Amino acid sequence: MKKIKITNFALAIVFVVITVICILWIIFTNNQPSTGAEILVNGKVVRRINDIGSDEEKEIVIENEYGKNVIVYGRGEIYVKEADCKNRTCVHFGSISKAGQSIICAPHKLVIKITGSDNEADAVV
Amino acid sequence: MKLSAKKITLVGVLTAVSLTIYMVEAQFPTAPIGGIKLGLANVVTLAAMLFADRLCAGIMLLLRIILASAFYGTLVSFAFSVTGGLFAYLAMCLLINRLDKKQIWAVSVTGGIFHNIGQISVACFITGQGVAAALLPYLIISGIATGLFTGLLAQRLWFSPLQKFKIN
Repeated sequence: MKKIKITNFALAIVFVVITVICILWIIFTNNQPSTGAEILVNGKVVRRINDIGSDEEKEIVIENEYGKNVIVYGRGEIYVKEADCKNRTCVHFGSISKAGQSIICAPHKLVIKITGSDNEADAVV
Repeated sequence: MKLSAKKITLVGVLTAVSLTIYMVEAQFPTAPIGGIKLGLANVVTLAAMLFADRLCAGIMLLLRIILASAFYGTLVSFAFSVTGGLFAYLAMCLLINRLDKKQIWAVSVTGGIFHNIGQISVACFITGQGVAAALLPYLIISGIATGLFTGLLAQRLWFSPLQKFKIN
């Protein structure tokens, strides 16, 4: 098998460059103002939230054949408070507040995403 | 590639080791960003590649994923594990014999990146939404960090007196 001759230094540079690209990617996709949020189940929008900036916290319960999620929003933030799935990754995920961010609960096929002014571009980041 | 009794034995032992590490790791709470974990079991996959061959590592990885999902996981977690594992395995297979043994860390870092790319594609597929891709930069960075750690561990294991146990 043909060996690749490359120094450790060159390899380190490659990985550092990848890291920098990722950090820039995060910075550039994270600074759009949010206009609202959408809750999707199985790829379809089931709820649209327009008052995500309201001062009091509001609760939404999404219950279907996949399971139950309790979603809380307010003060520009949204998070999953309770879920009856096994790993509860969505609950541990914490809150999101910026356009383009999303919380995904894979076992329940549930996606919560914050929409920005440039709606379509965000969805395919 | 023929499987000798020695190799089969090693696959069995390493599967047990890797399953134990995997299960212990699963007991710790996950990091704030979903899906980030150390992936210590990858050390064992790399060890299988180094001390036996790539085929043995593949068999071991598959056994570990099936057993771990049977004991602990769900169908969804199985889909995540198997895709992430397959992506990482294929990436590491391509590099392991082409790079110097002192560059095992780089093999592992590449594996870490591809593991997370695999998992994101499952998330995109299951939810039917491209939004999961927004997590990709976070997961690539975490893949590099954790891959570096597990890779250096595997490298340390190789450059130790254990090297004489390599099965040819």
